[in-house]
Amino acid sequence: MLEIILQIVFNSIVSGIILSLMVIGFNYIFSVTKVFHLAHAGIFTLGAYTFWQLTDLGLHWILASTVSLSIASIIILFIEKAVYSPMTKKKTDSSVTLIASMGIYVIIVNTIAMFFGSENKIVSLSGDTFNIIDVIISTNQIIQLLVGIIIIVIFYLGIKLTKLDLSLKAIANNDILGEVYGINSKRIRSLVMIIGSAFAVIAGILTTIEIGVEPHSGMNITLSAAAVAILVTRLDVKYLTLISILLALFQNTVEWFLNAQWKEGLTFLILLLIILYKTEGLVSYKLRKN
Amino acid sequence: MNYILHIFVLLEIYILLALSANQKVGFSGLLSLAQAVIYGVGAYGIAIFSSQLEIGYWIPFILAIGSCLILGLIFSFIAGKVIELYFSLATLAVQIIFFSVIYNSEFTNGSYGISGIASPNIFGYEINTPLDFSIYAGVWVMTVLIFLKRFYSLPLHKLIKATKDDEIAVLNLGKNPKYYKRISILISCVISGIAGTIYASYASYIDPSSFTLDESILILSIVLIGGSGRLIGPIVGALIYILLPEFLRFLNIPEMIAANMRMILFGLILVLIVRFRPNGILGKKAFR
Repeated sequence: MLEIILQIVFNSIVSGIILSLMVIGFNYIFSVTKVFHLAHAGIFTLGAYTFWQLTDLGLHWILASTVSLSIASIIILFIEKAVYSPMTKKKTDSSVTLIASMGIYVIIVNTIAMFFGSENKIVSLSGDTFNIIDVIISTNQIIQLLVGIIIIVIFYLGIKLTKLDLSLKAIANNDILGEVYGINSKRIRSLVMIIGSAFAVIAGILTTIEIGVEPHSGMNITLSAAAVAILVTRLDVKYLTLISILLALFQNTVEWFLNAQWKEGLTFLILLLIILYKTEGLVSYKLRKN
Repeated sequence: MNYILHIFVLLEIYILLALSANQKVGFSGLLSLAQAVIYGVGAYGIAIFSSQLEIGYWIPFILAIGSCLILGLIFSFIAGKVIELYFSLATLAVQIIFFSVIYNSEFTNGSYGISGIASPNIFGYEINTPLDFSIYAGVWVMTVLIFLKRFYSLPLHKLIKATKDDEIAVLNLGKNPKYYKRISILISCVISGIAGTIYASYASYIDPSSFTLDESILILSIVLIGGSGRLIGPIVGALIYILLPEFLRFLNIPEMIAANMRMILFGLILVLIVRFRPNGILGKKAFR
């Protein structure tokens, strides 16, 4: 029993780190641009498939990741300039922007399915596994864990040191007031879109090296990321990572003891109750009471 | 000939679903992502009640619609609690929970689905050929259209629209906005439920894959593309969705990529519509 618990905890930390990459990207985009960016799932799949295709052609993985990141950045900038930014400018309701985002998701995923088919794509870097106190660990999981943690730490330190953190929070809180204080909100929006999508691409690449990706697999992880984004409305990398790991732990436990399909149902049951009774989320900024 | 009739029945089912979504989106401003849930409850309702009770078609039919109404009360409770984006997210959650339940429960037979669903029986005449079904569904579409046409001219409907535009103004008139949202949701649920029962009897086999989040988004897209807030909008949207693959066939696009091509075009139309004509192809100009 103990080894099962340890195994679940270890697997949850690894999948929680990958989930938190998606969560950080999703949450920053949602807070700063007010777009409930479900097309994040499309970017995840796009990144994973570009990486798979390029390594399949024989490119080194560093080069393949760089190209994947660049392609995703160009596409997300196009989406931001052509769809999201004009819609926000027209003060479109965010639930309508959500629909636009779903439309973009449908386009990206079906284009990928049309060119590459629907089967699972895996880029296996190494097939080794080893045991530490009865817990089976694969080398790929170690790569996922290390890359994920390094990226999150770099991002955390980066936004703290460059004071980008403050600008992001300012725009998230009140973009007009932020502009009055001299923050270029358009530039911040584009920047957040690119950084957020880079997180999705990295999560996609990390998923291809262990369990693989098929065109629709981006949606499940994005829905979980969206759930965390509603639970944690505060822009705080520490909380976002912590709640992601806890959610992964919860989902893996459910998956082990019940079955895989219930995990989404139960996650969203909790989410529904929180939306209804604590709309501002579990970890949020203190709101001034009127 | 049977193929054309099959397309026709599908068209009629989607018209009903779109009219139902239009009632919520177009007149009450409730962008629900759980359209397929009510459709699914209608379909599973008729399948389960008719096989368990074995008392003809019409009592299970009423029970199925009743289940949709109970679900409607849950949705109106949600609509009373949260608005706008959070309403959409709450309904998204309901959609995913519903899929989990029908996929895993024993009484819905999980992913295997339910087969051998009863057909409607009118004065001893069993409806079971595609021609019968196209007429049967057509009668329902006409009934719903006539009902909605009448309903749209009632003062009650003006208050429903007023609730969408300005809830506080309605409150100032001494009316309860929650009540008008509830009526709108319940009407929408009955129409979706009818569509569900028609689909279940027509296909005579249902499984969870027909009631996914994708289906909900699709129904919502049909309304947004056709134009919400008008009677003709959902009909045009459903026509575009059903006739698009026939059009692709006409262009000689291989079967392999036609399904993806259809979704890409549909997604593209959806994005262009919400970006440039938020009220749909035939939508009215927004009131500013």
